[in-house]
Amino acid sequence: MRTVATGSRPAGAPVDVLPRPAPTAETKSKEQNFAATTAAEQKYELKPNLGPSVLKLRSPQSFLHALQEWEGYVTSIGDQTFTARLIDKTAKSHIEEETAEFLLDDVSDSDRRLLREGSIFRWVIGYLKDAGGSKRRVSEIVFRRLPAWTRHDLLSARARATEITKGLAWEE
Amino acid sequence: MRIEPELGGVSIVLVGSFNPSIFSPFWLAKQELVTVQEADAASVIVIHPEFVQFEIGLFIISVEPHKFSVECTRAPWISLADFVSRTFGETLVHTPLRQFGINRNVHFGVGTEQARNRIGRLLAPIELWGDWGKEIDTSDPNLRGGMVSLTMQQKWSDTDFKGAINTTVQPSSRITGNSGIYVQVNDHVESVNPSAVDGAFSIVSFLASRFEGSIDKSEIIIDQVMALKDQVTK
Repeated sequence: MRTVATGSRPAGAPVDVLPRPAPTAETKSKEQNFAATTAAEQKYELKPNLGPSVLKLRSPQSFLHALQEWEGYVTSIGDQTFTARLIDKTAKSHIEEETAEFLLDDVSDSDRRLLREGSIFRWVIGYLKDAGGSKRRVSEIVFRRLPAWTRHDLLSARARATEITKGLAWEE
Repeated sequence: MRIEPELGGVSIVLVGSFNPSIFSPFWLAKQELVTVQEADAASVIVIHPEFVQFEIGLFIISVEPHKFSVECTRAPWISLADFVSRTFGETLVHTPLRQFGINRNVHFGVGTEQARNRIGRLLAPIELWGDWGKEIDTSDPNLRGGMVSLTMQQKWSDTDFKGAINTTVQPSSRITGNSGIYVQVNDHVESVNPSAVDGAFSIVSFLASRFEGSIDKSEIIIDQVMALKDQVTK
């Protein structure tokens, strides 16, 4: 078991409005353009029917690049720590391979109400670059706010994986 | 990815029928889609009957009559899929949704402007453009002619859904020194039979099941573009 400490999670900052080249090509066919409807826009342009300008410029946001990510399943909660089984998502694993102990203080206030036995979370270690451009290594725990039908599927999958693992142990 | 991105993020874009005026930080909190604290701290950018945009928690949400988008620049990206799943798979389950896009984008540096230019020449060989290509190649370097955008597409189709993976490569407007490249992978999905669409659950549950695999594939594609740096700098 290991105990880990997480960094602070600074409040998000507004986002820059990115420059977008003015369109100069002729209108593409509808067939070619369909994918553009679900692609992300790099900049929000002022909509013509808004009238007077109401668009506030978005200033840069923070950016967290994950170097390593696990999915955790809370197995027990103590006075100051909680324990979880972990699946290494970075390694594309589907089996719980590790157990870790975390400090309760490392869970954000907004996520604390989500912490209970059976809760599912993501543990991310990576580099956080803030709006000012400074960079630091952080460790963050984010509890998943799942719809009931996804949570049911995940728990069923976990139960099946546990059964398979037990079956393999018997065969050995 | 072999190069650590300087910037990047993930967004989910939904195409369907929406009422922008209902989407507000406090409505989301009332539906327990975000916390009250997140709603209190939200930053509203635009509120208009036909266009709403605000920052809440780590998300930026934008809503138009036919498009809903939520974007995030901080891992874990799965939080986006969970938010969309709860919003349209539970709370607004009767919303007619026809299409969705899972978008992964990064800005990464390749060291020098020369390296970026060479990558541009690999992706869009200037020799193929004849005399005009020669004009571009010999024009003032400060004017920076050449490839400005390239998109590759892979289409697919199955029983209920069809779509395409679209990867766009451009010079980065966010990395200084003209040494950055921007890559966006758009995983576009739509119903095979849009007239049969009845609510959001079917397409949202497909989005939820596809999301992490889509991000993984996007990052493999992005890494392939990043690998071009090794070709031009060895």
